[in-house]
Amino acid sequence: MKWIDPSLSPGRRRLYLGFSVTLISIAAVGLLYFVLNLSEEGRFRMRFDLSEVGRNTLDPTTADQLEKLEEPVTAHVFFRYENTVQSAAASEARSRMMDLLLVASSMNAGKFEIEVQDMEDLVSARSKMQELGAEDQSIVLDQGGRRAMLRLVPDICELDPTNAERTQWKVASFKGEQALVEGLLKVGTAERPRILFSSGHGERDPEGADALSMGEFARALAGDGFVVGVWDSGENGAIPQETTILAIVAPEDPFAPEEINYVRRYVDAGGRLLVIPGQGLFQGPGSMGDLLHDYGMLTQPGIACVPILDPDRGVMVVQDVACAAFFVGDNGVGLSATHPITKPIRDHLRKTRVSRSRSFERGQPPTGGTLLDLMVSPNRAQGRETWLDLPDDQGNYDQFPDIAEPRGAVRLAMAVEFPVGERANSEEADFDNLPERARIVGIACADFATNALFNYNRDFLLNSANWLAEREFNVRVRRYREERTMMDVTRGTEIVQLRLIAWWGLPGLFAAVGLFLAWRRRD
Amino acid sequence: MSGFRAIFQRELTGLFLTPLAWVLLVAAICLNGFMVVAALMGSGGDVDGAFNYMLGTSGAYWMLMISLPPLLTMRTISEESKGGQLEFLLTAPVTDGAVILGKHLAVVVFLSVLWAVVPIYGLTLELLGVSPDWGQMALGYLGAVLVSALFSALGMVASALSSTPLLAAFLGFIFNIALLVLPMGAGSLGGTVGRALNALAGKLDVLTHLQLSFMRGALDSADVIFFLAWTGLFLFAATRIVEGRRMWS
Repeated sequence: MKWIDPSLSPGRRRLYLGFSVTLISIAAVGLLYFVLNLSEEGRFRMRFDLSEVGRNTLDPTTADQLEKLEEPVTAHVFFRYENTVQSAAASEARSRMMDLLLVASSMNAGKFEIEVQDMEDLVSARSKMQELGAEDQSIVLDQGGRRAMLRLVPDICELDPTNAERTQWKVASFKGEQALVEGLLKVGTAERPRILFSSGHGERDPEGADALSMGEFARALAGDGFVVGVWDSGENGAIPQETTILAIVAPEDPFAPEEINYVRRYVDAGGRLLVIPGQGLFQGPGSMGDLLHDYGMLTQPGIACVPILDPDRGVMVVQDVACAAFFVGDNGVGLSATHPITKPIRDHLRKTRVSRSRSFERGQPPTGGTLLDLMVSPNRAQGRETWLDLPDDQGNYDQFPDIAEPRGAVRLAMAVEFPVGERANSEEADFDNLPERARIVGIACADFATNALFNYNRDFLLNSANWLAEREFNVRVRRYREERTMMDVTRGTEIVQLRLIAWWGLPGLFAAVGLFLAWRRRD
Repeated sequence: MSGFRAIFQRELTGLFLTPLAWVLLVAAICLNGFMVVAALMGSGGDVDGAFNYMLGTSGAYWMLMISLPPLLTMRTISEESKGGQLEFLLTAPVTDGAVILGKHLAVVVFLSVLWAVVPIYGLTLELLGVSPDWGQMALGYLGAVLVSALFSALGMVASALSSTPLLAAFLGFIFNIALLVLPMGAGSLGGTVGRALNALAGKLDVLTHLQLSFMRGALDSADVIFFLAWTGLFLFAATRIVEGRRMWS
């Protein structure tokens, strides 16, 4: 400020001074803002992990996936504390996942953002969860509307009890980084798979909230990155070109021959189909049973039943409506051990639930195709045989194992995959972007995807959709490390020695030096 | 920068010969000593967690961080101005920048010595057979030094603003608290204004810049630049204030 003319009056000098100070302050703050922004830009930013366990280093697969992000991804975190016997283990898993997200965010500033939802504010939390199709205790990755949900259990971690009473739990395996990469792969796919639910034949409503609708399934699909729509042949005509999956869920009115033809042409050209035959209309012309017959799944009359336990008498009983509703997958039994749809459910010891389910017989799959059983009812329950309850002359079911009724396990869901071009009368020209192999998942239980059973069957249904859309990301990354150096503070002499040094040694040494200097200075 | 070295040496010697500085040093070491043992006992022996606690997550750490620098910087300009020494210094053949920088660096070196006790506890544990994560410890220490430098620079501004040392210390204390609390307050606001303030607060958020890199054992150039840039700005402001005071008078 030496440039201010000393000959100026004091008032003017002050004015100039004030002006120059303001100008310099603005310039300095502007420069600071510019430098800070520049330092945060990826090309100028350097980050080194100096921790011994590599706490700040992600697996190369993860780092590569984050690097390749073309649009920013936001991780919406819906974690909250729950006071259960699993609290401590779940807290540890949540904390490790948050650490992982922070590392990912730090490595990719601007490309990967974290938004932690305040779960204390229930109203806004619920509204946000509904908007994103999220579940409690989950993370939703969102990239411009393409979404993937990572659930704390079983996607991010597995919890196991550490005692027989199951009162203490631990994190058995932490798979947060793997889940993150799989999620990024899902949202990173440029094309969002499109699932269309057929309508106009008494199918379950994909927007309904009542027990027999399937609004929850549709929302979960949206949360998993699918675009959910409706196909009404009356309005839309043929199946749209951009359809990834066509879902026909429990139609109770027959499809017209032309509509069946639309579906056949779609599938034979490499289309993907999720079919659940109707409870009443499961066989005959215009039924889904009729359609599936051509692909090797033969819908059978009768309802799969298992004996149930009477809690009062402690014995297994039959002739109860509850016999028609049962779980599949006790200890993994009844679920395919190899198929991508059921293997994760089986591995995580989860179950599915059916109610008043029809069944399939195995037929002839299309040439070159593979037909697999996905879900089979139990053979026995507590030593008593299961059975297929057939209708009487009036078409009623008594849930009683008559002598003439078949016993043992029945097929409840099947999957078929076959190459296109092998089928007779194929008209591939209708669809030019479909894969070279067609896939169909058939489920015999009409209520399987309803809101009433969705909590039990969520994994099966979403895995089915992902298998049909070929969104199987079997990524394997190394375990995100979080080892810490521990010291035994209950035994041994280390803590005693440290206490001596920390409480007396160092303070004493510094006090002595200070006193010595003071004494010297006094002299 | 003419005279910087001489001023730095003079200030450093002065600091280490001041009884107040030694009282603060011994008090901080006692507090750190109790903290390290308490943190180890409380965490069931988690050594890295305990050192992390001492170098960034504990309330005592932040209490020392916001209170010690103003107590040390209050004398650098304010006390000298009150005693009349500053006028001599400013008329000496040294630049104003050298005066501010020399004094600031002396305070930072003193605080670095204070925080060095934490790695000494680490060394003690290493000698006892328990090896801490040295990378994380070194960066935690570097983080503590950088935060000390930032808060000391803010203390220098306060010291330059007031001719009363106690008032300067109080002002510095308030400035430091504001620097810590303002980003948190802005972060809790919603709406468009809240988002804009949140973005600005990100450029001022000491806590996040410390926790996301230094305390995790990661050296991030953006975080180092964050601390250096803000420290530089406050030192620049302190220099301008001193210069302005001279012009005014």
